[in-house]
Amino acid sequence: MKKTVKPGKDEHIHGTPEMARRWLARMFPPYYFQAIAGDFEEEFQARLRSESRYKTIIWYFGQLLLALPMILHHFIYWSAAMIANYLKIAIRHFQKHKGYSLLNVLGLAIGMACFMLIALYVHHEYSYDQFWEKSERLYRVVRVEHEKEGIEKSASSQVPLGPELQSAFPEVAAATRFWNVSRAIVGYNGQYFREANFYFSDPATFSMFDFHWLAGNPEKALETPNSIVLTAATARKYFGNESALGQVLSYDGWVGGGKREFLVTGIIADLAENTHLDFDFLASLQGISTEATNWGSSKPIWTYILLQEKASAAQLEEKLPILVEKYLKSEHPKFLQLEPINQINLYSSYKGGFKTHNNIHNLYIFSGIGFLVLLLACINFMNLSIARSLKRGKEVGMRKVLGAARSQLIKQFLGEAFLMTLLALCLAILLANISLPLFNELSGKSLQIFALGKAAPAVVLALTALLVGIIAGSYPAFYLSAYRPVDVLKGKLPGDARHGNRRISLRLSPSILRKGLIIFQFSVSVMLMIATMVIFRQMDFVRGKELGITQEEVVVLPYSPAAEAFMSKISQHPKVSTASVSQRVPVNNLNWDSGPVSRPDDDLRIDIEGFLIDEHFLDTYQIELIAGRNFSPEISADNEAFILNETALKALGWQSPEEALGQPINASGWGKPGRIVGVVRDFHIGSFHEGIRPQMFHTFRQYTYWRTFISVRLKPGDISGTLAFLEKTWREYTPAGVYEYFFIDESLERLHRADIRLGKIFASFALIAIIIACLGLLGVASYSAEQRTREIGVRKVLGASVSGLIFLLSREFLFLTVSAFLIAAPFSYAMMNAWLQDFAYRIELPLDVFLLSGLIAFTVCLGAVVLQALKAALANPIDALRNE
Amino acid sequence: MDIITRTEELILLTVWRLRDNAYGITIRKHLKDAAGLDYSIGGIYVPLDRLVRKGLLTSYQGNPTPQRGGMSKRFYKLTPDGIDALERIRTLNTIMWDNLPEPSF
Repeated sequence: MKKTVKPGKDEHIHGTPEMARRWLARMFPPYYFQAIAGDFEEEFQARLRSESRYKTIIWYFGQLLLALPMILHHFIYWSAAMIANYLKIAIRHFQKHKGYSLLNVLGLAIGMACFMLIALYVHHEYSYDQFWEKSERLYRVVRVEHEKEGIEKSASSQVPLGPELQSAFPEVAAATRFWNVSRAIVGYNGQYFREANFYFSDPATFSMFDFHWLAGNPEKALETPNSIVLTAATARKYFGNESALGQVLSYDGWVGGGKREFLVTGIIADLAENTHLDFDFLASLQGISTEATNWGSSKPIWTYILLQEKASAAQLEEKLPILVEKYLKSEHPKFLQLEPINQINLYSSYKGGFKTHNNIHNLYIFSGIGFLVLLLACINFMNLSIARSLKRGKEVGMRKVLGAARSQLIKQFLGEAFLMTLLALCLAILLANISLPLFNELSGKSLQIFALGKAAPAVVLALTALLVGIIAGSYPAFYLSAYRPVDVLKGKLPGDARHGNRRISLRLSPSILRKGLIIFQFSVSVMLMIATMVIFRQMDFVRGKELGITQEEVVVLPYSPAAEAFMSKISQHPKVSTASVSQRVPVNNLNWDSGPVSRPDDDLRIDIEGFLIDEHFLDTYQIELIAGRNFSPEISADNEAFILNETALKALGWQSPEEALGQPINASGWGKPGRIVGVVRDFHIGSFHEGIRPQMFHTFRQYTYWRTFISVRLKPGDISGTLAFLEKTWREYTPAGVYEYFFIDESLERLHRADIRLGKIFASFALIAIIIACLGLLGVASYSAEQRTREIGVRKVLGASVSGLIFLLSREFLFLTVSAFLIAAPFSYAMMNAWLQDFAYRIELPLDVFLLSGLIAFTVCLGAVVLQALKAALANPIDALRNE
Repeated sequence: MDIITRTEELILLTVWRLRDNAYGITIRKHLKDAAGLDYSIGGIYVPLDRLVRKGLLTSYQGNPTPQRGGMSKRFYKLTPDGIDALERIRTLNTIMWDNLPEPSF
């Protein structure tokens, strides 16, 4: 209709400006165009007779401008009318196809909810340590050493490093240290607790990090010796509702040389969740002279610096070798580096530090899953929309006959898609809110849905919904609007629109597109399934690995001054097998001390980590001695004796244990030279991402101060009774002590928690993705069966069997699943291989996992399709054929 | 039914007067000459359209003519309702004017 109103080129119109005429045609609704354009023309001609052409044209444009209000009025009125009509039709469609529509909206909502949760998580992880006022200028000083057996990266540093950095380099505005006292005993009013998050720190801490102060003066808080700052939760723990400021806490720990008393000079609010800093106590380092000039060994001290405003970290880093040369000279190359504080959470690969941090790769994986799930949901939506919209060919034809322009139809279908997405968005927000506690538990965070504050998340969500609407609604919109009304109304299947309008020929026919989308969806699902299974296999492998150390049924108690009497008492108990005293326990090696060790006949110096044990330790942990002997109280030479692991042996250059036995080594970081008396088999305690490092044991003798733990190996059975006995006996011998126990294997579990968590999250989202894919398949399959009702009817009448019909209907989809599997398999093979490379100990990529996931996908698909096919095949053919 | 406005009254009267020749240009011209109301070419259709929707006017398409560049005219005609409305306003005017006292200044 619109085309007929355009004044044909052959009509002779003297001089109405062409441009103006085109405007006119565009501005006015077709309904009015005839009348108005005619009026314009008539008046124009009349004026031309009395006035100059120039003036007439000006008049013409003036009139056009004057007509604007009317056009606007019209536009709004008719748009409103059309929108009302579209809305009505959309609602009717929704009601008529409740099943499809629900499937559609629900699938999309689930996808969006997943996306939201993951976006929330990723945003949270990226926000780590961004909020400090000076976070751009704060750096952690870390160490990289190129040792013979590989690169060692560590965050632990030497005691004098912080002060030296500040005095030696003008670029450093401030420097501070956090010195961890693992297992300090803190007491108030006769109550004692063991505290793992006790740190000593410099006063500069508070000028570098802007904590939220609840009480006290940030500038003075750690200035005086024996002052301490607590977090609010810690203050509550010790003082309840009393004011903590000015109270005195007692302390006993190895840093600061034993017992001390600290005056509380400040309370800060609990640390934000998105900082890697993690402490309960910050005690003043003033007046703690321990090893103030000891550059020899690194301690669990994390050193942070604040750069001057204009200083560059890269330039400072270039100067740091001077310092290394002066104090930290060693045979192997050693570097100090600066790590931006806001990158620690995601990018740090350094051993040690406050919290076990996240890994950018995990974040990539999560974001990837988030996008995939959303994409799958979009594809679903698109698939179902296409399937459904094909049925609306008649409506489209009718609308076209009644004068709808293509743009209007596009608007209509896009609008409907938006409506659905909007609905899905509301539902998604609801779903995300409901499942947030679950997600928090899974991820170990405490995220809140609108915790991001501000309008940003709402805008992001709205944009996402908009984008999803465009993606999901575009194909049906553009495809359907291109039909030629005659074809559609004549009853030609819209499916073969290639014979339709040549001007707007779309090469992608819906059935090909739909197949492509289904294949894509299923490949992604299969990939996720394979990935999940591989992750779980690897976790199982890690848990079941031969560790060289038996951590089950070892319970760890605090050291008791009357340890010998206590241990002889408990070893009489029938359920106690052995007990041992040690400086540390083999849970992880994050806080082990390390120091350089060398052979007298060689310049090679190796950093070896380790701790002090007694003669029962190897038995208690069932660590195998492969050569030499255990420590013995009878041999006084054991003051200078060491037991090494195989890795340490190799690092020092010995080929076999026998060679090394009795050999002297220099262990300056360990106090004195000594001899190797024994070699143990390598045993595993760290994360499985890392290999085994050189380790050794030394025995107590004059280092009695370091006795920290009593490990007790229990015999199976009556654990709770034995635990009660241990506690009672321990209290008898240690009246003033703090009793706490933990099982070694529980702590081990904690160490692997990040991996386990990853596996669980991955599995959950993979499951959701698979469910979404199945929903989509179900919808498309049932649509396809429905579309062929008549064909099935005819076939049945002509004698087709039910099984034959099922085969007919399922064949196509089964073919799709098989191709999906063939696409997915190589991709996931490459992907999971790369993931496994990250583990020092890993499984071979299991091939049965591939077959299994392929089989599952196939079965699920078969189930969905056959169900629909069965329904169609069992239906009475009369019902199908009676129509028309 | 509401009382029609003065403008509507004028337009309806114009359409009535123009009889079979009431279309955009003639209506505009008459309104301008008789009442001094200046509508733009496009603008005149706003009140006309409103009156059609109110059911006081109907419109029909004329034949295309060459001097209009092949475009047809849209003619307007009063409906019985339109005539009613006009008569009502006329009666109302008469009542309102009837027996007015002398103006006192």
